[in-house]
Amino acid sequence: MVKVYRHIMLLTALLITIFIFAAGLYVGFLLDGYRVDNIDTSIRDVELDSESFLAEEQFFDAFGKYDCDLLNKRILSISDKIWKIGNVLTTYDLKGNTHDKIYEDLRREFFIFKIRAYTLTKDLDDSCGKSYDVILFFYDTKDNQDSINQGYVLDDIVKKNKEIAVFSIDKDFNDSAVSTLVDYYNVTIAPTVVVNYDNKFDGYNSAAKLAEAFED
Amino acid sequence: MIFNLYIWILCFVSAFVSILWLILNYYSNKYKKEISLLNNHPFVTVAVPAFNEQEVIASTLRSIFNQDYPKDKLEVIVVNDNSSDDTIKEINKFVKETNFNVKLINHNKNKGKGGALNTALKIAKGEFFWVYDADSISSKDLLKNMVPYFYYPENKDVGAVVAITLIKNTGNWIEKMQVLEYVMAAFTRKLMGSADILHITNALSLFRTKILKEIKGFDEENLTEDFEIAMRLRYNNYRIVMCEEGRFHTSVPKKIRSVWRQRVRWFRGFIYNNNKYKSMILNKKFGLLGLFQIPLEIFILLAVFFSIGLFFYHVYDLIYDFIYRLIIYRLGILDFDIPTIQQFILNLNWLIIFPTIVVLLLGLYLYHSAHKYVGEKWKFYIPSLLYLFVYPLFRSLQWIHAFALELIGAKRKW
Repeated sequence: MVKVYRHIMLLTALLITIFIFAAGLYVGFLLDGYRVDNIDTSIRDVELDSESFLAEEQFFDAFGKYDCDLLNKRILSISDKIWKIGNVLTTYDLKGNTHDKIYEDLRREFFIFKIRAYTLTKDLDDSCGKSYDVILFFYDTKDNQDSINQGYVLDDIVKKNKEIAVFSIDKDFNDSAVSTLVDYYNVTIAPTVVVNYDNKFDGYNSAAKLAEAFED
Repeated sequence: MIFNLYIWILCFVSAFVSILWLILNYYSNKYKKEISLLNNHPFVTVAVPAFNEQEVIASTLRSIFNQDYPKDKLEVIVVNDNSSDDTIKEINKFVKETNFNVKLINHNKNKGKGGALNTALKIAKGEFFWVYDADSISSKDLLKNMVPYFYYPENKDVGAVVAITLIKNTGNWIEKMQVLEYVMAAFTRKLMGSADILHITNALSLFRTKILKEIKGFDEENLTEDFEIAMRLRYNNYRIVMCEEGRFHTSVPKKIRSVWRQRVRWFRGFIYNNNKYKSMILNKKFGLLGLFQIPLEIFILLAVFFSIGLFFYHVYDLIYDFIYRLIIYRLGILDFDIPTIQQFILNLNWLIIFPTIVVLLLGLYLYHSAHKYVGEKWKFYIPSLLYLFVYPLFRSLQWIHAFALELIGAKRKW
């Protein structure tokens, strides 16, 4: 009897397997949607922080009581969030198999926001004087082990030193604001690290080497 | 991307085979025939190849003569394959004590199991030829349950009947680890038998003597003569079926080294015999065996090689990453951001994890079904876990070892 049904059994098993895998694809698609929502919410959150920071700065400016300590703390907090969101975005982007265009848009939005935040820190430094270190990190996504290693080094620096703001940018990302920054610093290789706006380090550099350019 | 695709294909094939097995199990249980025992018992030759079996030969012979089968319908031939221990002495002692009729043939030179079986086959008078490994013990009802399978009207083309094999010695964890393997093997053979794709015989297989002689007996140079004879039967359009009533227990290696040697020998036999009968692959003439089962086994073999390559690549990658972090972070190995539960869940690659979970659950259900089938409780949990999650790595290495030996044409020896 089993012999008679062999082909039917094979076909049934194949159909059930296809159904299970289709369900897996659907779950994957749903979760990718959640990932996009999750990262989008985080970006909105940090953008609101940034808006709030600007409002405070304008308030202090208008009322003549500039609280540099408070603003420095706020910008460091924003920078910390940016760094963490960047890590999450990279992970999600790697896991996601759908929503490619949305991820691309999110990355773009995030890079633009980082450049804006980097500019804000420069403004604040000009107004209040330097009280923390700022790092701009240009990396390469195309299987560049040096960029990955430089990322570890910066991760370590951020964790050990809370008085530091790090902004990471994909040097090859197709956006005019990113290109402007790349051109401004004449970035030709990845990784490239700029410490405190004008100390440029080409290639991989250890934490000790970068620390030489930090403020005392 | 390639890694994801590969895992997907592997999960798909695993899920497909697991589901197919479950369906097969359902139908084979549903349409299972009650065995009808014979009133007139045919004459059976029991062939016991023995090489240095002084410890077990007496209990093996006792197990044969304890069969619930007329003694005058049994011809027991022990072929002593030039043993260097007291095997002969033990056999003579057994005969003297029990007065049972045992034909003892001595080889002056070791010819291996295939050679010993051929010696017995030459003088066999039985209609059926029962290969009985000297380290095995069968249940009393095994032979009387196996023989009727040849007499079912639809089984005229059956060349061999195999039985459920379980493990005799389960003392240390290496032996316990193999319990699950034997239980699963018995279950999958039952399923393969019900789909007519069974192509293996084992330590206690019953053959039609006429067919064995017609296909010129056992291959004496083969490392796995039981697999080779099964392939040859299938090649000559004879089927192999599984007797689901009765059991036999066999000894398994107790040491890692012996397990390794045994498996490498099995795997070399698999590679050699598949190559020998390569014309069966994707050959319509052999039905699902040629079109599905053998290609599936070859796919699994290729997957083993690919998986081991990927595994070591990832291990290298992880070690490199770990060492780098260790040097950079110094002692900050555990210094990482703990993700939220939401982030943790979203961080997982569900396109891979979902089918993997499905395959694991199906696998667990199959293990459960297999234990139910052979009537054993799923015990020895830690060795079972080792078998499931650690042993596959060793098995992959054993495959590579076997493949390398075949590739360089290493001498085939037991």
